[in-house]
Amino acid sequence: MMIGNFTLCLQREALLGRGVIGDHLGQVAFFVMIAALFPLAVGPSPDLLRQLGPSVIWISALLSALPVFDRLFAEDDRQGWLEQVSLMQGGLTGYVGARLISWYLLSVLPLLGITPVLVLLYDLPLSSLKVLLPSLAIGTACLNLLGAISASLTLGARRATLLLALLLLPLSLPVLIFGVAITQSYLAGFSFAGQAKLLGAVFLFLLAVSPVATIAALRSVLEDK
Amino acid sequence: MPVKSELMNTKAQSGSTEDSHPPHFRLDGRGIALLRGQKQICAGLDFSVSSGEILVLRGPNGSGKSSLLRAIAGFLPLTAGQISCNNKPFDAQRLETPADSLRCLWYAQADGLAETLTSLENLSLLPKTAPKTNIEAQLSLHDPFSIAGFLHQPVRSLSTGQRQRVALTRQCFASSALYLWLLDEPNSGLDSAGHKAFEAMLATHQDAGGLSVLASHHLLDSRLTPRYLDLSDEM
Repeated sequence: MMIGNFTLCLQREALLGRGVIGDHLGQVAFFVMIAALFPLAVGPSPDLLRQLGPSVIWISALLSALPVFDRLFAEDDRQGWLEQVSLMQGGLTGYVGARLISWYLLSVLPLLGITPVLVLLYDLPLSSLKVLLPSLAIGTACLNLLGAISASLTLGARRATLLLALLLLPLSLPVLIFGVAITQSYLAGFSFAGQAKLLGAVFLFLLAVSPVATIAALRSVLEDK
Repeated sequence: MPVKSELMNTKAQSGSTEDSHPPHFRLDGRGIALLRGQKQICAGLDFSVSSGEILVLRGPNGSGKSSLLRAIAGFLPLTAGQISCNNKPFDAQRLETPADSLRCLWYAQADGLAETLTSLENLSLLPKTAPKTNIEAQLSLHDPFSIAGFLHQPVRSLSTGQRQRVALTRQCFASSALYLWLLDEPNSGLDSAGHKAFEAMLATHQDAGGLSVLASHHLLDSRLTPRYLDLSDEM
């Protein structure tokens, strides 16, 4: 069945992972740097920083993902791997699945690992981590799913990185709004169930739509070669 | 549904063990027209290739050799005509196919090798082949393109010709009656020893009952009895 191609692609991702860890650590450094810029720009008032904290962390997570997204499919396209996988049992479906899983693990886990530092930096209560981390985990998964569509659509375009950012940022607004609202409601002592459900709904919607759209876009890339 | 597909699998397996005849395929293209960008590159093109046959596409640059190969693989949609296998419409990119149907194996200059991985790791990433050690053992017995010397080097550090030999070696592992080889300029950068090895590789595939379609500027050894299709005449 489809499994053959999927496990093969996962194996390949595992082998390739060593080589790209540097890229993703750079992404984490970028994440921390953006977040560290805000106190310098808005001033060191603790109350203000505490209020800004959750929004800044979310915006940093979003912005730090942008510069690496154009690498999601670019190498495999250039090296001709897309042609190879589309002719295997399972086709592009297994490939896109494996690629997204490995991309998520490589880009999101380090980011979640460093988040407690930012929480301390903004003087947020450590207990907020139990809300912030899961919501960031789901939110960045949404961003990756959106990024997969954008990256496949802009594959091979001139200035792909810029185009990708222009596509991705407006699409990610709902994720950003619900994501930030979860932590802010928690910090204000309100229930955040509604926002959490909305974020979950966005995630499930993207999980259903994104792979289909991505595969269609990759097919059209192969057509135009 | 899983039960059914399992049944079909076992049926296909027992079928292939009971009768020793390899399956016979005949791939036909009728009235094929292709567009590349806005430009018509061929129209009303017919071709056919059967098990154990080699079809060589010839013609000057831009005559549509690569495009025709891409069309057979299903990357480039046909604007007219159709490609059929044993009189049924042929789709190289079906997600699931019964075990005994024809599959395509693609070779082009963008060879699908990951540059940061070693040659051996790349070879281990093949559908339906055993893990690493097995490939190494097989290569120590028979190394058609003499790649043993750079098996553990990352592909990035190889020369174009060496890279091509690794990619062609990968092709050798899928030499069977179930495979249609689609090769885009496979022998353009090979030295004379490499060219001999390439012809031997085609012969092995042919003996196994496999099909090959290749785009090439070179003539093949006449013992392979290749058929030539000249694309420049078509326009």
